[in-house]
Amino acid sequence: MFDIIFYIFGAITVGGALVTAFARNIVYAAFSLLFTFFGIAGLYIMANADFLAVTQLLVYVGGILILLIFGVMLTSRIGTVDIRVGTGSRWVAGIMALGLFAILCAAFFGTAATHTEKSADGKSQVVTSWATHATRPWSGSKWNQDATTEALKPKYGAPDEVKSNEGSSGTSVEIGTLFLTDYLLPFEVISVLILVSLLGATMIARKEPTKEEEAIAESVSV
Amino acid sequence: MLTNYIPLALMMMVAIGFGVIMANLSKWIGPRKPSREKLSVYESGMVPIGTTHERVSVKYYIVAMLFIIFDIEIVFLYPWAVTFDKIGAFALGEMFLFIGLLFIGYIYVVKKGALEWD
Repeated sequence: MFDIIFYIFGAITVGGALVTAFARNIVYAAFSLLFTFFGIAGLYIMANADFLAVTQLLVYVGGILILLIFGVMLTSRIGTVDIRVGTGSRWVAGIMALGLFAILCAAFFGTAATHTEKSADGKSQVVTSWATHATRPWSGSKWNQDATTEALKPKYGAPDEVKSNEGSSGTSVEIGTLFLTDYLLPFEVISVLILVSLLGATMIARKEPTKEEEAIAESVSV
Repeated sequence: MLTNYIPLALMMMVAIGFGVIMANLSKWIGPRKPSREKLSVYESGMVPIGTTHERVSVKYYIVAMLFIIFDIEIVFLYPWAVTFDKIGAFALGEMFLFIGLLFIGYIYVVKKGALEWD
């Protein structure tokens, strides 16, 4: 069952990406990106990263995609423009894609998936297993149990403390606790970062009307 | 675990199903007698002017962009809200600082007139 849902989300993601890449009409490309973003959100949920999934939906599907579609609508005669670029750099593109694929493969097979197992005396312990063994996502058995969240824990949290994600709250409680305790400064720096992007966006997008234009605007409104 | 998401999946199925059915219901069960007038573009009873590929004002883009920035701010409110009862007054102060910084940006945006529709 888990595998089937995984493949469905995977198919949605890849299918949307393919349409985005090959669509002749840029509007179709923008809309099919919706499916890609949605599929990625589903994959995040499969990896027990529920906070990330919600963020994906809220920011990418709800925000950035709208912005993209606005961008399409704002551009005049964009419907008639052939968005496919020439094939001159096909070899470079192929090499780049292969390189990226190799990096992703290395990351995938080099990542330990840890999961919690009840040992004989009833204590729960973290078991580390590598993707090269029988714990690949498509083999299903062990990967789905808190794999991603647990895998990140030894790096960023206390390794001896293993919390289970039982209940409906999911990872947001842990993320919130960490934000307000260990990662307080980064949390506040995020605020500054958002402030900077806010000011920057306003500065760039909002053209200051010159004195002349202001005069024209006034004379028109009167 | 994934069983937590069954209500979510159900809701999405209902939402998608409702949308598809409602959008197509009149097509399926309504009578179809197309005429020249009926097939023309509906623009609140007016004769349509121009094309559908009209350029939209760049104003929308600025608003959408500012929306995304505040959207990201909202994302950080969620983990704060679920841990608020554990940490208490300290968390409240932190969030005031967080939002206060962004409020400065909001004042700047308003002063700059980026939200005005002139």
